[in-house]
Amino acid sequence: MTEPSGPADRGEFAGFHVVDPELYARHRDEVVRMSTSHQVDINEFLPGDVRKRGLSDAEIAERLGLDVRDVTEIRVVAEHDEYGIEEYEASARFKDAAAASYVERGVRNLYEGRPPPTRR
Amino acid sequence: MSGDEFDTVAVKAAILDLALKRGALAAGVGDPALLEDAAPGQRPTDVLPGTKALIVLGGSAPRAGEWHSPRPELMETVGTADRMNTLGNSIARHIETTYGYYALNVPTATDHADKAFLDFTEAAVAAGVGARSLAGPALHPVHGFMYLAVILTSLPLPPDTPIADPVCPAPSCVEMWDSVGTTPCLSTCPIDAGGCLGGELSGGRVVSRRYDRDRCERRVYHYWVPGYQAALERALNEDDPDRRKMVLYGSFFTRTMWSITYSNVSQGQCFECMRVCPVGSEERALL
Repeated sequence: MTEPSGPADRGEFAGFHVVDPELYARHRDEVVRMSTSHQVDINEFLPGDVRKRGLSDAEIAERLGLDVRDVTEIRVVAEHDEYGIEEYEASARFKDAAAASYVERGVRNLYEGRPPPTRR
Repeated sequence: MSGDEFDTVAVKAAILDLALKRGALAAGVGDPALLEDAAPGQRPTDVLPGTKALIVLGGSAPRAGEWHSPRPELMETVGTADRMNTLGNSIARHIETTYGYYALNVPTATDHADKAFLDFTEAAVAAGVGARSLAGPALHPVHGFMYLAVILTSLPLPPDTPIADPVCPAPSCVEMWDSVGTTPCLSTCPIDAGGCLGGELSGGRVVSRRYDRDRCERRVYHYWVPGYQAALERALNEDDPDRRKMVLYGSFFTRTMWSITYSNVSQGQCFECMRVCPVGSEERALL
């Protein structure tokens, strides 16, 4: 592989590294799956041979044959892209309902993920 | 001065005692080798070459009154993590000036790739300051949820051992699981119903766990950088200047900007899985 000779070759647009949207769309799901975004039995209570840690960006890049900087950008953008602005409204409803449940029933809270409209 | 020239047990006791006197509720020393199975780049020696010990301090949890308030917005704006960070910096400086060894307080911010420098939960487990929990944070057997500071040092200190008996699940959580098939944290934030947490108990132990970190981040940093980016994107994509104004001048964007301005007290904006956790709940129950 030849060394990148200029900013464009290094994937830099407007003076900083931005991942190509097509590359992002092509690899987003697998990068997220290999990272720590959705954790299943990662660093938990299980025996060492069962625990599954997420991969570093360098490890993901090696497996997918990508540049590590592109993997980092794909992961960071995907982490912000995973949930839209609507999730923040849902978050407000969730917290209002959970806190209200705690006031009423303490640690025996049995809030079941059915939040009422937000009070905010 | 080398580790052979002084009593490392006495030095360790003096350092931990100093931290406790300055406000830590719990303090311990972990073996950095226990974190060597972390992803490359997030191991103690990646952060400080030659690390011989990691000192973990826990404390500065929200006050009982804050847990008790019916307004979750209060918990979103009274974060006290910076107090532990300040204490960590102080202890690191004390080690360097007193003993002449490298010491650094691991930053609580993220690196260039938006990743933590170190897994603080694993550090707390290694130092016996906390134990793993189904919800995620390391839990102290008495105090429950605490904020953490981690100091890495080349000073060779004898390590403590991880807490032998699991703190989570608490006995009442095991009873609840056996009775209704859930726990307080799982029922509060269920991953299959719009929440972040999933898992199973068997024989009084956690045998599996699922965690949606991205959704958790939306809640913990509700009015902060991720929300700012999402709202800004919505505003930039809005062609109608009047509608764009409603986004930028509206309550969500305004509240977000205030949170970023007062970032030291806005670091944690969701505590609902910890609010219902029985571990440490006695300290949250006052008159």
